[in-house]
Amino acid sequence: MRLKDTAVGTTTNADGEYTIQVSGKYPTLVYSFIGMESKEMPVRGNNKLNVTLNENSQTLQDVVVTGIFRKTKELATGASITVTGDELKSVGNANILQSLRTLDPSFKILDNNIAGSNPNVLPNVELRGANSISDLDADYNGNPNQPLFILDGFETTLQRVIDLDPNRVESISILKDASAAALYGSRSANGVIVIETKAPEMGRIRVSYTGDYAVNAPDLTDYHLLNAEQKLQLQLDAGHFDIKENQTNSALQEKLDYYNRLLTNVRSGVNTYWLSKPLQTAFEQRHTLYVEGGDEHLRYSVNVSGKLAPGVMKGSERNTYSGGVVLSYRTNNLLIKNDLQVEYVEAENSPYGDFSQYAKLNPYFKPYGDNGKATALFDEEMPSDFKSGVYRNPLYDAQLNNVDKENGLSFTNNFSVEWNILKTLTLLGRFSISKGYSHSEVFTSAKNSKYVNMGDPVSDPENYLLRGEFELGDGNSYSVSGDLNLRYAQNFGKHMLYVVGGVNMSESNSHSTLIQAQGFPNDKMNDISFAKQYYKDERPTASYDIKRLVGVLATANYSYDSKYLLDFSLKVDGSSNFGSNNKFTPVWSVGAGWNMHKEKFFADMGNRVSLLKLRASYGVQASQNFSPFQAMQMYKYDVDHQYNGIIPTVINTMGNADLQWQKTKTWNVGLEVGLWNDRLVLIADLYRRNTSNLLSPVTIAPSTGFTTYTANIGSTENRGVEASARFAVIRDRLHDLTWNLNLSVSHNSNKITDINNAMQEHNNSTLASNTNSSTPPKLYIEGNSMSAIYTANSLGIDPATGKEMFLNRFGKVTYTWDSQDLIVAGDTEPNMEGIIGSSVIWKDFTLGVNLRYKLGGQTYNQTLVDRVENANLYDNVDVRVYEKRWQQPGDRTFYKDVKDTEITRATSRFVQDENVLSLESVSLSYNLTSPKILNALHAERIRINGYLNDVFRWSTVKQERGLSYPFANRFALSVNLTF
Amino acid sequence: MKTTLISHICKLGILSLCLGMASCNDWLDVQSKVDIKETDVFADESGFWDSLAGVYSSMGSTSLYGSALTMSTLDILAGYYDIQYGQVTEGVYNLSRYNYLSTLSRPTFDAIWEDMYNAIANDNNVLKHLEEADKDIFEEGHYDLIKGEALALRAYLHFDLLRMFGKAYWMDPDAVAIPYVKRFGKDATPRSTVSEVIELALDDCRAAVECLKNDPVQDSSFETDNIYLLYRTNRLNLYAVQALMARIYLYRGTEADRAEALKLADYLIDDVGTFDLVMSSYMSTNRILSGETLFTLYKDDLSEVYESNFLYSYDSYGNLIWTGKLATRRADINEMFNTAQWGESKDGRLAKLMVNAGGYYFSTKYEQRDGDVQPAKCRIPLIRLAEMYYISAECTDDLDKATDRLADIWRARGYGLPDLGIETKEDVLQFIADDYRRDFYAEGQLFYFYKRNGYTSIPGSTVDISGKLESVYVFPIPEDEDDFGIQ
Repeated sequence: MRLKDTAVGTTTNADGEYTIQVSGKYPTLVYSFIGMESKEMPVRGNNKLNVTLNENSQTLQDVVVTGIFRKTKELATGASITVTGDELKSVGNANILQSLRTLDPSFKILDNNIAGSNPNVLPNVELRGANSISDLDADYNGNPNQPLFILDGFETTLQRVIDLDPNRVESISILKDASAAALYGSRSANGVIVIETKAPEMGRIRVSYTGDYAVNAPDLTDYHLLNAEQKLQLQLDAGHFDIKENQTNSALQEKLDYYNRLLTNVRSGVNTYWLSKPLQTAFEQRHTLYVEGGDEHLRYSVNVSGKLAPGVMKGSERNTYSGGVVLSYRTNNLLIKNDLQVEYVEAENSPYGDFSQYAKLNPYFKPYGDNGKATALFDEEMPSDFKSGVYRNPLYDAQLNNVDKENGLSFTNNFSVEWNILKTLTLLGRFSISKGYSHSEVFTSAKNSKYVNMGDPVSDPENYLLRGEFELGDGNSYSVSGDLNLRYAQNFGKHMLYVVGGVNMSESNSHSTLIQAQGFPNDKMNDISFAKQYYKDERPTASYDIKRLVGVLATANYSYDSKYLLDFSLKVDGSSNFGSNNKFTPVWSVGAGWNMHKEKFFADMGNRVSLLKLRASYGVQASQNFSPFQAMQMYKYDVDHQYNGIIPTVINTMGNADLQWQKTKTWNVGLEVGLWNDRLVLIADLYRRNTSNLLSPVTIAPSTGFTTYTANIGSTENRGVEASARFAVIRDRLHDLTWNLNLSVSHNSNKITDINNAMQEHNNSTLASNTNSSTPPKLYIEGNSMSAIYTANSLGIDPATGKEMFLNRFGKVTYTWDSQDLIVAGDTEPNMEGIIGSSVIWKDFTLGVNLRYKLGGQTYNQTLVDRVENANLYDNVDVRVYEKRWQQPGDRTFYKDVKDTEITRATSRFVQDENVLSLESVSLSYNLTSPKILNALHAERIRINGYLNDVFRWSTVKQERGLSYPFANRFALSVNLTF
Repeated sequence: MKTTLISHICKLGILSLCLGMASCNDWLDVQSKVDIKETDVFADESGFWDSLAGVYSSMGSTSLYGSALTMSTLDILAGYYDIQYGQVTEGVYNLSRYNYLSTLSRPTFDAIWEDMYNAIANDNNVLKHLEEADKDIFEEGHYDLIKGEALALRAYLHFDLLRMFGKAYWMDPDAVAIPYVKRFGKDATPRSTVSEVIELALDDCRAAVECLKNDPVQDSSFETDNIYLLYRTNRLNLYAVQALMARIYLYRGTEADRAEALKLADYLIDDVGTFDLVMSSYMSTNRILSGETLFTLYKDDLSEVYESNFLYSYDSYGNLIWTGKLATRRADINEMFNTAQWGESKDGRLAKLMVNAGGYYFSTKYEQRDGDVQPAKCRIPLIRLAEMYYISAECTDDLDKATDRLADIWRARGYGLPDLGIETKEDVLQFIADDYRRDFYAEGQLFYFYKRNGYTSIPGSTVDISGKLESVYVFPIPEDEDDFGIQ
C-alpha cells in the first residue's frame, strides 16, 4: 500500500496489520494486492482503517481487446485470447512474436531452416494453418496466410511488430475465429492480432528504465563434419589423387604434389573449424526509458528506446531506435489522446555471405596466410579436379570493402477522441497517419572473387573495368486511416444490449525505386557516383503499390442475465484490390454462448464449478492479400522500343473485372471449464475453415491472345483442435507459493479440396524445373495437404546391384525414377504441437519453464541426401559419410552404391518421422520488494528477469539446421527499475 | 425543435452516405504509376495511336514478322537456306525436315499462334474502345484512320494465320481452320472454315477501305508535324489494304477472285503514282526497295536481328563461322539466278542484296549501313509493288500484258530489255515461280506461293513431301487451343 501520489509505502505483516505515516492535506491511501482490485481510501483523520479488498474481476485476461472497444470476455462468443505485456516479458525479451508463440499454440512462427536466426529476415507467421497456396504465383503480395496485425487500432506490418519494443506493450489479443475477427471484415480471414500499447497513468512523474541484455551464441550442435585428417583420408580413399582417364603423368605428379602439401598441412596441425570463422557470440542490448505522469485531466508519457542487435554472423545487425510522446486529455465525458511515435532502423547484412559455404570448406585449408591475412586462394597450384568444391576463401571476400545495408525512418501519429455522449452512448473517432522512408545500398567490391573471370586488365580492359557493382534502393510509404464508431450499451433489467456501428476508411501507398550500376575499379570509391555505367540496356526500376479500403460496421451483442449470449456482426468492405464489378463484399458472423456456471444447478455447487461455458460461432470472412492491379486491365508502355518515334503500348495482363474476394467460412465450437475456483482451467476449441475463391491462373485458349488469366478457382480446408489447460498444483497464500502447470496442444490438418487445370500446369512446370534436383518438388494435388512431401516410393537399395528400387504407379518394381510415380511420403505439418510449461511463484521469485513438443510430422532429411549420399567429396561433408555404403553384391545398406554418382532424386528413403522437443524458454524473475533497498535507491519497483531461450533441442531427425544463417541459443537478462 | 434537428441530422447522414457510396467506387479505382489502366490509355486520341503502334510493334517481334514470318522460319520452310545438322539448333533442323510435331520445333508454331493472337487481342481492344469512345476526342478524320488501320490489321493477321494454320483453299475450302477473333475477352471464339475466314478477312478489308478513303497516303504533297500521321507506309494504309485484298483474292483464286485481284493490282500499278519498282542501280543503298513498299514494319532493333540471322564472321585462321546463320549455297544461288546465262553481276537482287562468303551467300537486305536511304532503315517489307506485278501477270488472260508486267520487273532488276522467252500461259506461271524465289528472298512470301499452288516438291529442299502435303503446308495448332478453345 502506498500514500496516494507519493512514493511512501509499506506492506502489511502476515496478519494483515500495518502502520504508515501519512502527510498532506487530504491524505489518501491506496491498497493493492496481486489478484485483487486496488482500492483508495481517504484517511480523513482516522488512525485506524480496515480495508477488505475484492478479488479482481476485470484483469486483462478477462477482456477481449478488439482494437475498437473492449469487451467482457465472459460475454464473448468467439475464440480469442489476451495476454498482457508482463506475460510476454515473462517468456523472453527478444520480440513480442517470439513470446506470443510460446503463450498460444494457435500462433505459429514457421521454422525457417535456411535463414536460421538472421535478424534481417522476416519470419512466416500463421494462425491456425494456411488458407492460401502461397507459391502459386508471384501475383501474391507477400505471405497470403499472414494474419492481420492491428497496433493501437490501425493496421501495421509484420516488420513493425517485430521491431516494436516489447516494453511498450500493454496487451496482445489474438482473434481466431469469425465471431472475434469479423470486425476487421475483408482483412480478417487469417485471424487478427491486436496489440495495444501502454497508456499514461495518472500520478506524479514516474520514470522507469528497462534494460534488456542478451547473449546470442551460435548453435552448431546439428553440424557434424569431418576433421582435417579424416577428410584427407576420405579423398585419398575416394581416389581423388589417382590419375583419371585421359590425364597425363604430369597431372598425376601435380596431384601427388598437392596431396603432399595437404598432408604437410594436416601433420603440422592444420584443422580449421570453418563453421566458427564467420560467427560471433553476439551481445544484444535494448535500453528503454519511460516517463509518465499527469493529473486527472492531462496525462503524458514519453518513451525512448534503443536496441542494438548484432546477429551471430559477424557484421550482421539490426538496430532500432524509437521514441514517442503520448498526450491525453480528459474531461467529464471526453477523452482526447494523441500518440506520436518515431522509429529509425538500421540493418546490415553480414559480408561473410552464405553460411553454407563454410560448412563445405575443407578443414585442411589454412584460412590465413603467413602474414595473418586471408588469402584469396588456398592453394595457387590446386589441380583443376579439386575446383569442383569450394576452393576460394570466403574470408578474403569478407574483408573487402563491401556494403550491404539498409535503413528506414518512420513516423506514426495516432489521434483519438472518445466522447461519452450519454451514459449509454459513446463515440470513438480515430485518425492515423504514417510516413516511412527507406534506403538501401549494396556494394560489391571489384576484388570480389565472383569477378575473377570477368575481363582482363591487358587483353580485355573493357570488361575488366566493369567489375564492382552498386545497387541503390529508395522507398517511401505513406498511409492514412480513420474510423468512427458509435457504441451503445444498455441494461434493461437482466437484458443487456451492446451495439456498435462504425465506418472506416484507409489508404496506403508505397513507391520504391532501384538503381543498379557497375564498374567500380577501386573499392574505396564506393559511392554510386563513381560508377562507370548502368548495366547495359538496363534502366532504373520502380514499383508502386496503392491500396484503398472503406468499410461500414454493425455489431450487436445481446445477453440475458450474463447466461445466454448472442452475437452478430456485419461488415461491408470495399477495396481497391478487387474486380471493378465486385468492389464491395459483406463479411458477417453469428455467435452464441451459454455460461452454464451461472445456472442455478452449478451455482449451488459453490466454487467447484467456477466456469463452464459453451460457445459456437460461424461466419464468412474474406481476405485481400493480393496485388491491387490484378483485377484490372493494364497497359504497359514498351519504353525499350519505338515505332517510328511512337512509344508503343500493349496490354500487360488480361484483367478480370469479376474477380472476387477470397472467402473463408469458419466454424468454431469452444468449451471453457474452470474447476475449484479456477484452479483447473481448460479451454478447448474445435474449428473448421473452408476457403474458396482462391485466386489462381486459369488456362484459356491462346487464340484469346493470352494463355492464362486470374480467376477465383480452388479451395482449401483446415480442420483443427486446440486446447490448453492450466492447473494450479499449489496455491498457498500463507507461504506465498503458487505452482502452475500448463499444457497446450494444437492440431491442424489441411486439405486442398478443389483445384483447377492451371494447377496441373503449375505442377508440371515444377516437375520440369525439378530435374537434377535432390529436393522433393512442391506439388498441389486435390485431396492432399499443402504441406505434403512428394517422393518416389522407395523399396530401399537392391543388395544385388546397389541401385535404388522404386515401386512405380503400376505396382511394378523399377530402378528408374519417374516423376509420374511420386507418392505422398509424408507431411511436414505435425499431428500435434504444443507447449508443456510450469511456473512457480514463491514470494518475489517466479520460475517459468516452457518446452515445445512436436509429434507426428515428417521431414525430408536433406543433409543425408546432399551431405552424405550425394555429397561432393571435394567439399567437407557430414561424418555419416562413413556409414556403410553398398560396395558389392549382397551388401544390405541404406545408402546406394558408392560409385553411383547420379543425383539422388526425391525418394521416400529419406523421409523421416520428426518428433521434436525443445526448451523454448526458461525464465527466473525476481521482484525486489525490500523497502530498505527501494528507499535507498529512491525506487518504486525493481524487477530482474533472467532467460534462457532455445538452449536445447532434441529431434528424431539428425540434419543440419540454419543452412544460410545459423540458429542461436539465447541467454538474456532484463532489469526494470521504476522511480 | 429537437425532433426536426435530429431528422435534419438523419437526412444529412443518409445523403452523405449515399454520396459517399457513389464516390467510393471512384475512390476505390486506384492508379498504378508503373502500368497504366486501359481506361486512361483510351482517354485521348494519342492512346489509340499508341496502342495501334503496340500492335505494329508486336508484329515486329522476332517470333512474328521481326524474323520468323519473314527471314527465318517461313523461309527455312520455303527451302531458301542450306540447313545442316549441327550447324543450327535441333529445333531449326527439325523445321527444315518438316518435323513440325517434334518437341523442339512445335514451340515455334505455338509462339507464332500465341503472339499473332496477342496482337489481334490488342487490335480488337482498340476497336472495342473506338466503339465506346466519344468521337469528340479525335481530330477531324483521325477516328476513321485509326479504325481503318485496326480493321485492316485484323484482316492481315488472320489471313496470315489462315495461310499458316489453315488448309489451302484448294485442299478443302470447307475445312475448319482458325478462329476469326473479333472480340476481346477470355472467351474463346469458335473456329471458322477456310472460306469463312477469307470472307471475314475481305469484309474487314472492305470496311477498312471505306474508313481509309481519306487516307493522306493518297496526297503526295501532304505535310504534317503530327507524328501519328507520318510514314503512312509503315502502317496499313489504303493502298496496302487494297494490295492485301488482291493477295487474298488470289489466294482463294476462283475465276471471279482472279478478276478482282487483277483489277486491284492493275489499279495500284497503273493508277497510283506513289510507288514505283526500284531500279537495280539504287539497290545498294536501298536494299528493302522502299520505293515499292506499300507496307513495311518499322523495327528499331532490326540490326540485332540481322546480326543473329545473317552476319557471318571468320575465325583467326580465316575460316567462315556461320553457326546458326541463314545462308544459301553458291550452287543453289547459281541455279536460282541462272548465273550460267546471266552472270553474277546483272541481277541487282543478287549483286546488291547478297554477299558471297566462303561458298555461301548471305542476305544483306536487313543490314543497317550508314549510307542507306532514310526510308529503308529499320524496315521490314510486308507488301511490295512487285507482288502486284506478279498478280497482274498471273491473273490476266492477255499474254502480252503478262509478259510486259514481268519484263517491267526484270528491267528494274537490272536485265535491261531481255527476251523472257514467254510463249504460253504455262511459261508465265513458270517465270513467276522462278522470279518469286529471286524477289522475295528472306521476306517470307515464297512458302505461301508453294502452298497456294500445291507444289509437291519444294525447290531447294531435299525432303520428299509429295505424300504429305497437308502435314507440310498446314502448321500444327497449339494443344492448348484444342483443349481450351472451341473446335
